[in-house]
Amino acid sequence: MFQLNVLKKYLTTFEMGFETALEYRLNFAISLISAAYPILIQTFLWTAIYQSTTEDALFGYTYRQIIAYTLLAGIVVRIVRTGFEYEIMQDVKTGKFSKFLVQPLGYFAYRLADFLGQKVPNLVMLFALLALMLLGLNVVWGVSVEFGRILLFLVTLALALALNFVIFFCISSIAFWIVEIGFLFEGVRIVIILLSGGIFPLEVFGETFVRITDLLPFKYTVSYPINVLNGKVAAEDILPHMLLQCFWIGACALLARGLWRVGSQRYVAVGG
Amino acid sequence: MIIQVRQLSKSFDYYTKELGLKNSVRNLFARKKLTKTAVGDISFEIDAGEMVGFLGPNGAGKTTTLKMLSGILHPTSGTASVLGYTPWERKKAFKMQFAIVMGQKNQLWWDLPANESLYLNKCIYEIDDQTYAATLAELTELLDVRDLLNVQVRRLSLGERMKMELIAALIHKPRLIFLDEPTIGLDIVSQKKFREFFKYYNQQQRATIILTSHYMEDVKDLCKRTIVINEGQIVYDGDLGQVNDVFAQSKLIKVQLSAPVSPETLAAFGVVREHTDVTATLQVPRAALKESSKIILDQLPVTDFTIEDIPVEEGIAELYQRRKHDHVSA
Repeated sequence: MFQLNVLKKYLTTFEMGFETALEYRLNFAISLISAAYPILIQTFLWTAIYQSTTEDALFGYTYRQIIAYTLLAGIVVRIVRTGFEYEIMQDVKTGKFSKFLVQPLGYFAYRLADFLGQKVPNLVMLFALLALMLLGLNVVWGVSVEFGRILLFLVTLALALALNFVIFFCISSIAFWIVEIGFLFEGVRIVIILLSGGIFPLEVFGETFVRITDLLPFKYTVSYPINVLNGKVAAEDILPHMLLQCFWIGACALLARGLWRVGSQRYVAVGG
Repeated sequence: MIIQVRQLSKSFDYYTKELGLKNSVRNLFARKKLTKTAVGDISFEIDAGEMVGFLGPNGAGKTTTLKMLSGILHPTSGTASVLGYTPWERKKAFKMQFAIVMGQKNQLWWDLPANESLYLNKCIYEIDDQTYAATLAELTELLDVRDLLNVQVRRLSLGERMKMELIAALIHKPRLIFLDEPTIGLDIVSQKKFREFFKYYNQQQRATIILTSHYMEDVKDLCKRTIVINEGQIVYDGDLGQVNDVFAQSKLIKVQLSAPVSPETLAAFGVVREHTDVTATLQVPRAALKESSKIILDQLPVTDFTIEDIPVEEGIAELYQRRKHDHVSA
């Protein structure tokens, strides 16, 4: 009964996040349209590059593969994208965070529930788009994906979403030290998207770069799920990588916990 | 006893910067750290069911005190026991029993109707359905906002929103309520309604209410006991009506005159505080009230005559000033 009561708090938060997102559905639709531009530009760019070379594959990708990657990356980046860090910034800046200190409610769980709730309508649209895209690739180019890979892709994608949430929960703790950090969030986000393979496949940047990104959590948010789907990750490597993904979720969650403990103590000391 | 505060202090570190770019650059490398004592060594006790006002100028330490009592801030030193708990340990059982309303901060979800946020609070405070329905009905009735429950919060007026905030804060029937500037920004009619509500709630629910306000009326109207804080110190603790007794034992005599009297002449009867050609306000020692009255009535062309207390506002202002002088001389 006690557990149920606790769960109810976050379920209600989830529902309210969902309702809020529905209030802003037009906003989201417009953001989708604007997201199409970079994808379009990259498609033209790759087309030009592949036309000017005699080789069949660059960086280990054929022309069709690289276009498929670009399209998928455009959607996966959207799927794992966060946005709650601005709300956290506002909470800290305006002192609204105090409210959470005096209520019997966990801030992390509250933010997660709200975030997922707000994400649901977006996810529905994004997955519909993804299905259309896979279908289109299949019809036009005859690209076919195994059903098993799709299932594994969905699992890794869920983990990728969780991972990105904890990563940005860590980053949002900067709000305790710097008041106006909206610009920082965008800067960090672009770097992270680049490191996660959200713009180009990581191989484009060379071997050293790939080796560095292997040691970081970011590629598990975009590049890895796509590579599960397109077959770049060998079947026997899927599970170990999934475990690594889980490891990074745990590690970032621990880091977030530490950062938030120190940060909220600072908040308490300075006064909101 | 519901609140017991012993030598509670809170100081903040802050940095200063001299005017100009040069000093901005200098501050990047070495900043001068200063410490401000927001609350210094205060002690008081509050009994269950009391309604106590915290009065003081901006930056006096009222909000800081409330924040410590509600567990938002850790004190620099001292102890406090609130409802039997140490507030800054933030025990769940403690959180379930009190509420804090900050006039300038909202907890309602902006894009959704207020009843959604209220329902969330029902879940947060683990209130059962029946109690929730009854409390909600009572509060919306009292504050006259039943019809507005389904309206998006962003479409409500400030007064309506504050009422919803209040309902959100009281939905779990807290035994102890901290109100930090609850009527700020409200018009006079709304302020009055809020005061009536607090009075009623205090009596009906036997809830202890601690209130801070800039508006003297709020405190004068609601609180039998007032704690005046200035520069982090308690300068007065007692009945607000008697605040003037503490120092100047004076009364005001207001007279209306049938013919103009010069201020020089008036000065012979008492301290002239205000005067026009045909009216005057004179401050006289309380002990000499009877005597002065007699002389004034005899010697001046008086058509109307009233004796008044020095307004509480003035007494309070005097208290604020006094503390500053003490600091200077200390």
